[in-house]
Amino acid sequence: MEKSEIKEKLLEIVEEEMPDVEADKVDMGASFTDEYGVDSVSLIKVIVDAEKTFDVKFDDKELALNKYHSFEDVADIIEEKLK
Amino acid sequence: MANKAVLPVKYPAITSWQWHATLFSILGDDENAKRWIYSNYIQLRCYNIDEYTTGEEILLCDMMPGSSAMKECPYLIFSLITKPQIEAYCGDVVDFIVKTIDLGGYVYGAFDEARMLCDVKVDYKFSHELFIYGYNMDEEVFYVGDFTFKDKYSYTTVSFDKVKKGFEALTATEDHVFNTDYKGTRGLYVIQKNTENRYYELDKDLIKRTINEYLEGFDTKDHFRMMRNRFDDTVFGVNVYDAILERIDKQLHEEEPDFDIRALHIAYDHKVLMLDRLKYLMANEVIPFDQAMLDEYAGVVEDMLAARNLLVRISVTGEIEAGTRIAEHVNTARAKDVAILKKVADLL
Repeated sequence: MEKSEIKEKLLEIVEEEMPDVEADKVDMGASFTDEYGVDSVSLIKVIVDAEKTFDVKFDDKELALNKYHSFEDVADIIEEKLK
Repeated sequence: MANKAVLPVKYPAITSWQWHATLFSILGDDENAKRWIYSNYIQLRCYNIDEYTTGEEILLCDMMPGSSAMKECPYLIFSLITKPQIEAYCGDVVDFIVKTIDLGGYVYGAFDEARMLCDVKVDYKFSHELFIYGYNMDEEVFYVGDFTFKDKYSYTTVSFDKVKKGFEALTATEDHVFNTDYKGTRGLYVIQKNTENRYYELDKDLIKRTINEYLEGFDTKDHFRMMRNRFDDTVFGVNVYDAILERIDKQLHEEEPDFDIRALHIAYDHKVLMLDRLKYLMANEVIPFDQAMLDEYAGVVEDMLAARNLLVRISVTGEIEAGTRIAEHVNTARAKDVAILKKVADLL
């Protein structure tokens, strides 16, 4: 899967789990805690949906908010898991 | 009276309970206060208690000192002001809070936060502690720290009107901050920083003794006799790990599973603070610098965070069977925690 498709699908998930975030206005590289209010619970909800969408598995330590700075980082780890 | 005044706060290193989040918001960055903070908050304890909001039994886990920490900390001046005093001095709670902030005082107490969350009248009350550290007269809002308004501890604003309604809605018996210790009292705490002088030296002996008590699961009530010790069924130190796992197993296997993460979260915060303590002790040459030890303890923090996040994940997915992995993470953390702290106690 192309990285652009991963990002697009990831943002669909983000919009579903975090209705206040408008997918088409998201800066993928921005701090997602500062700019979009991502917290531990919302990140875990996004990851659980991403596991289903991309058929990948995150281990328990990869659920930690401090592992990521931005949605770009989440897309990167999904891309890595799809290889 | 200024149009806007905001007292300094720093997002707290630990957020488990409002009393800790408040103390660390005010003092977390103060070099004098660090000597007291790192000498304390070493022992863990837990006990069963009926939650005041639901009446259901929960496992209340906390560090020592717990909810009385702000009274005991030498770097805070903690004053109880009763509702009749507030009304006599100012007539109005909003005016009282604004004047208190103008005088450099933070405000802390129980408010009916159901009145703050809903724009319409609701027929239930939710008494919760609110920490107020600023105001804006133009926007008619207070700056507050709390867990209620977002999914995590956060700094946000609440209107004057909602704070007034939230304060006035609670009776003395509904004020859970005061009704246990000062029955029949309704009021607020005013908190002032007392950090200009050094009132407390880092207590190396206390740290060593309390780490050993933590490792042995020693009943520390005897050691902290000056604190209120109302609970007989208290579990201490590393035995708290077992109590938490037992409770999580029970709550996950109830007919309607419960996903209360608070006990795991305080155990995680305990490790976060312990890692900060180790760094502080090394930076101040109380124990020798040891990067390998810091890296190893960072692993303890990571394991406890994985356990907490896994419980959050289970609450989202309903995969109850994944609960066995919580025990694996917690037991891994416990083994490393014990091994490292034994070394630290020997070095002190």
